Amino acid sequence: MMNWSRGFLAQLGRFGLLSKEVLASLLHSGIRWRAVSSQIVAIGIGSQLVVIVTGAFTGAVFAAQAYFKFKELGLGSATGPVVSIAMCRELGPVLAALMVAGRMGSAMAAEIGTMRVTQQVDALRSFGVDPVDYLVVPKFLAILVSMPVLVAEAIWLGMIAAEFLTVEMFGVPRPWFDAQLVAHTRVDDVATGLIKGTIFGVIIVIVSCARGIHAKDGAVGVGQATTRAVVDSSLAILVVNFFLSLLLNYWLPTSSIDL
Amino acid sequence: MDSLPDKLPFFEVEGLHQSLEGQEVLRGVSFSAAQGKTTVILGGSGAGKSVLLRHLNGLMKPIAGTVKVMGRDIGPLSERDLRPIRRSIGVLFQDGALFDSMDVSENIAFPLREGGERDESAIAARVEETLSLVGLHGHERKRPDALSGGMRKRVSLARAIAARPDCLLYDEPTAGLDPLLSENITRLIARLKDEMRLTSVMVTHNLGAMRFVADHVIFLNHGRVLYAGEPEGLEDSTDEAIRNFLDADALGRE
Repeated sequence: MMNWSRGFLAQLGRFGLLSKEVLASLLHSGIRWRAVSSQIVAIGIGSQLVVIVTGAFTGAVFAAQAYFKFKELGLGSATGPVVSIAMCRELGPVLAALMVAGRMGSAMAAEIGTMRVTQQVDALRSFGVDPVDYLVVPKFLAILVSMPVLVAEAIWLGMIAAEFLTVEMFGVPRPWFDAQLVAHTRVDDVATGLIKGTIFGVIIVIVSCARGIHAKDGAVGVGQATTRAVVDSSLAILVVNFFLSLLLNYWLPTSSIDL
Repeated sequence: MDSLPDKLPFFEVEGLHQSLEGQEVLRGVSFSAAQGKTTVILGGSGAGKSVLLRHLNGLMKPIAGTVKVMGRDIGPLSERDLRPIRRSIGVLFQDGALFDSMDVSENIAFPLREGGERDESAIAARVEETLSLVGLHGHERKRPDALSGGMRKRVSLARAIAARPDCLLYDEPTAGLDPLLSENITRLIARLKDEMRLTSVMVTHNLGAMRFVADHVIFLNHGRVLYAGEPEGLEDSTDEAIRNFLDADALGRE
């Protein structure tokens, strides 16, 4: 237990140190825009399919379950607002972030970890290039741009799928569904999702890159770093989401549903 | 590092100590490497040679002792302050350490671009010139994973000299190569030494390479310097560890 606590604190320290180095780099070093744009392609465009499929099917299944239960209570019309608030505030940002953590967090840790164990990181340093400037900051900036867009897409696709299912398959009148959805979805709900998504993106980059930078012991070490990057960032997303939900609900409270 | 004052040693290492994972790797190493000369750090596996080399451009910080580059103690310098010093020192890493995401020409152009060169035609000309020097003209578009071990070393060497550094560090340049390739690389290093008149520090356990290029030899054993001087003097040493090393090499060649 003592060893685990020490390891956990050491790991938190590494994440904190890397965050500080990223901030210092943003303040004092030039930004490599070409690298940032290629990372936007990798993270933002490359994650389209997983985020779209996740958002759409989560929205659809959540709408189905909500409708089945609400219908029994005579509250079928609440399906739209409930799906909307859930997708905006929780499911959209959390699931999009978990998908990006699985897809890009592992790629980031594997790339940097491999460079580390094959001395490519040392080669960068020997040419006077800061590995954080070169490898981490472009990913950091790219995810700041990409995550809000990916989260917005997940939310939007989730609501489209929910509407399609509720209207076309369960027979809820479209004008009624739309009116309830619009009436109970506020800018604060969407903002909450986008803020959360951006914070989760920062977690993914810091955790995954730190795991890669500290990889050792060859291919086995890179494999472990990759696994830990995904596990750590996924767990951190879920834990941070709980506290963010409490905080953001205080700052940007959800609307009451008046049916 | 544009003008190098004469007589001042390029590297001065004094009382260098280093530990890795609780094990003492360097135990008070002291030596100096003269400008324009090739210093070879010789020793068996685990002697601390590569760890010592990593201190010379600040990739590792000593836990005790000093490392001076052209008279400047680099121990207290930050990563940012180390950058100009590192740019004046090329490194040939043991496995090449070529950037996987780049082809051969991009790898060689990397230090030029990072050094501030923006003229693409000048970069292309330097890449071509450097590749010709290492005998790899025509391989510009190959990726590192399509190269043999010897080619990777030569590309890495081309990358190390592309920005015309004042000094080159070689970490086991012949390790993992067959005798013929090993001799080719050694001859290439000797040629660079003659043509570019660079200060060089080579870490190796290859006595043949040492005899071919060394002006000065340091023999390292268990983190301590057992010999520092002319290459010829090493052969006459009566130290038991040095004799064992020399005899084992002679046995290996029989």
